Amino acid sequence: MKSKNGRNGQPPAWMIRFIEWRLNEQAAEVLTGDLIESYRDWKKRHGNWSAKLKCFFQIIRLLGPLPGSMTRISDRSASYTISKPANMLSSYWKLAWRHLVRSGTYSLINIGGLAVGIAMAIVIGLWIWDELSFDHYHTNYERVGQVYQFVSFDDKIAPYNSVPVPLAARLKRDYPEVEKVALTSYLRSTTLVIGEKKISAEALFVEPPFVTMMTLRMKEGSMDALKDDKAMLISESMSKRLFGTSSPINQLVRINNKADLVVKAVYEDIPENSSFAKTDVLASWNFFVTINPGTQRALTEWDENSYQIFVQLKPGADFAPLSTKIKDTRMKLENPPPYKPQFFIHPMKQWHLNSDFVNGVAKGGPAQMVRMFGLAGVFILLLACINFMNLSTARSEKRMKEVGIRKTLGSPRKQLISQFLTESILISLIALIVSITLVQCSISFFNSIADKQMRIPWFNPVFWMALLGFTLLTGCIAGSYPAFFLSSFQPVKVLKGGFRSSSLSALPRKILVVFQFSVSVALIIGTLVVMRQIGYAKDRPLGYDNNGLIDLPMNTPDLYGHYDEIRQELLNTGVVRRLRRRLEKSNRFSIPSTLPLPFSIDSWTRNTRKNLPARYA
Amino acid sequence: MKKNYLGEFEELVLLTVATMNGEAYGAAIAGDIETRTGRSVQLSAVHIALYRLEEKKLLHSRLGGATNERGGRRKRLFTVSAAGMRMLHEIRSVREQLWQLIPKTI
Repeated sequence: MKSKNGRNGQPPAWMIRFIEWRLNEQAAEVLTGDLIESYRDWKKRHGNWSAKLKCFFQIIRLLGPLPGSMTRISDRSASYTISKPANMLSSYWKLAWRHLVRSGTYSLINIGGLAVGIAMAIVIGLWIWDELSFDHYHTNYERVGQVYQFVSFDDKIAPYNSVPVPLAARLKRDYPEVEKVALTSYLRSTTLVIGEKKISAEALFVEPPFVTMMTLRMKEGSMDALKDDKAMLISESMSKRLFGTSSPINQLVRINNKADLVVKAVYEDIPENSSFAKTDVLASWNFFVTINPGTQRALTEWDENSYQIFVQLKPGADFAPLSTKIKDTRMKLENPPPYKPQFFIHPMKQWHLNSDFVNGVAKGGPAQMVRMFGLAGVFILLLACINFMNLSTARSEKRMKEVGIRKTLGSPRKQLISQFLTESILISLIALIVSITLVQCSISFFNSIADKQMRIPWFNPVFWMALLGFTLLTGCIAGSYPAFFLSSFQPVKVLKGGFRSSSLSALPRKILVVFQFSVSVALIIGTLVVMRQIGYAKDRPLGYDNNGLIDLPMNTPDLYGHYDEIRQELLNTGVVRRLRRRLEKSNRFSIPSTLPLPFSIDSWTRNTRKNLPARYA
Repeated sequence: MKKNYLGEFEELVLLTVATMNGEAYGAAIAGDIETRTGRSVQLSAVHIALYRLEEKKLLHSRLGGATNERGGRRKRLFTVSAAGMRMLHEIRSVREQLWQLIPKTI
């Protein structure tokens, strides 16, 4: 222990200290000696970490609460005396456990109530965490933004993320605080063909800086592969779908039946809580221009708003001043359009949670929702705690006699306090375990409602610390009333009977009960209102019957080039009653001239839907 | 005298202590059993077995033999008691009787 070298080959100091605390001097000396001796051997054979772990398990086995440990036989064997405080501790647990088992229904209600409360809080907490960490996957999160414009139509000012192409060059040339600029298309549904395989994928056509701006993690290939116009980057899962386990690098893929691109890199799937989550394929902007005549015209056109521009600022630069500078870029040019575009930059930080604008002013967004859920979570948790406290307090009065007798037999007040606290901590710990089980069982259900990919972060120490800390706190607070109040009784008064606690001492409990009931009534009313609202939205007449309607996007020339033939074929199958094509429903600012034409089909059964790809592929 | 029975592991530990001629202590016993049987032996299991055996009065123990490699801490050295020796002999004779009874064809 003296030299640094000496300590390296030894079990961690805290383990030794624990043994010395738990065992009498001689027993501790023998055990630590044996551990130190064996530790060197373990370390040599299994490495440092396993040795530590192994050492830890030996100690748990010998001194832990399990049957067969030294604790259980200590009083009978002279050479292994366990120190006093630890013995007391184990008797607290034992007594707490017996009380718990004896009053089964009460324990069940108490543990169940607390567990459901904690489980709800965990689920809400996970959801909030998921929302708040949206887009954090992109390392440059703080410095990336998208160019938007406010547009005035009929006295209303609305924001659009579609901007003219020449603006990108302007941003690069005139504003030194801008580090990177990337023009992109919208996410487009495209068809990838490789040999006999046809797969529909969501593709984004981007300028090369986009990849480093969004810090995509490369599995294979390099980040600047897109500098080659004929290159294509695919996500890991898309690579699996297209090529299985074989290497996708340098494979040719036909895109939309128009041109061949070479797979140059594979990136790690972008997580679900990112704005680019659904992007399977990244291809070059230049390539996009060559296959779309409309885009070629748009390259110099200030009034064609059909593309997206992302920017990354230099470290230390701010979005607000840049937004002011670029605001009137278009209005200063010739022939300003009547819709008075005002450009601004929408920072990535606000994309997800603060994306609402009312007449040109930022007005929060889902962030309010997050706050509301947070509040609801806190209330549910508080309710569970209060319920827990009330139940334990109410029950504790039954135990006055026990307190009286124990005091008469010479039990000091400190021990009684420890006894009651141990009991409530035991209950809250059991509730914690039950609640984690509940969350694990219900998380997939919540994921399907909330459209999320949440999981319990099993390996996140912060999560466990928070959970454990919170549980212990609840246990302590809930146990504090019986612990300090009951243990203050005078044995004579209690044992003589007819003892009534004064009305003053019952006051906090009454307040808690009233609070608990008001909050639960409020929550129930809220739930009913929301349920009826949802019911109304579901049953409201739509104006048409959507049973048996399906909609298919036509995204290759194979489909939209041969519409009449396809239509005839489908009608001939006999299951399709009517079909027609329409332009893509667009909520965008303007419609690019080369948009694919989806068509919708009435009266369609599931069977034929399955057959379709085979027939038209 | 109350009749004591030994578990397989306890018997193994007791026998090992007997072979080690007064030099038997926790870590050494664990190491010895491990090399002899090739199975992984937990130090904690050896300790538990040792103090159970001591409780059953089959082992005696004393403190001694502090060495540098155990941080200057003393060992608890175990020796088999007379009762322990008797127990080992009894077990052995029962085993041997049983071996005699096994038909030779096997």
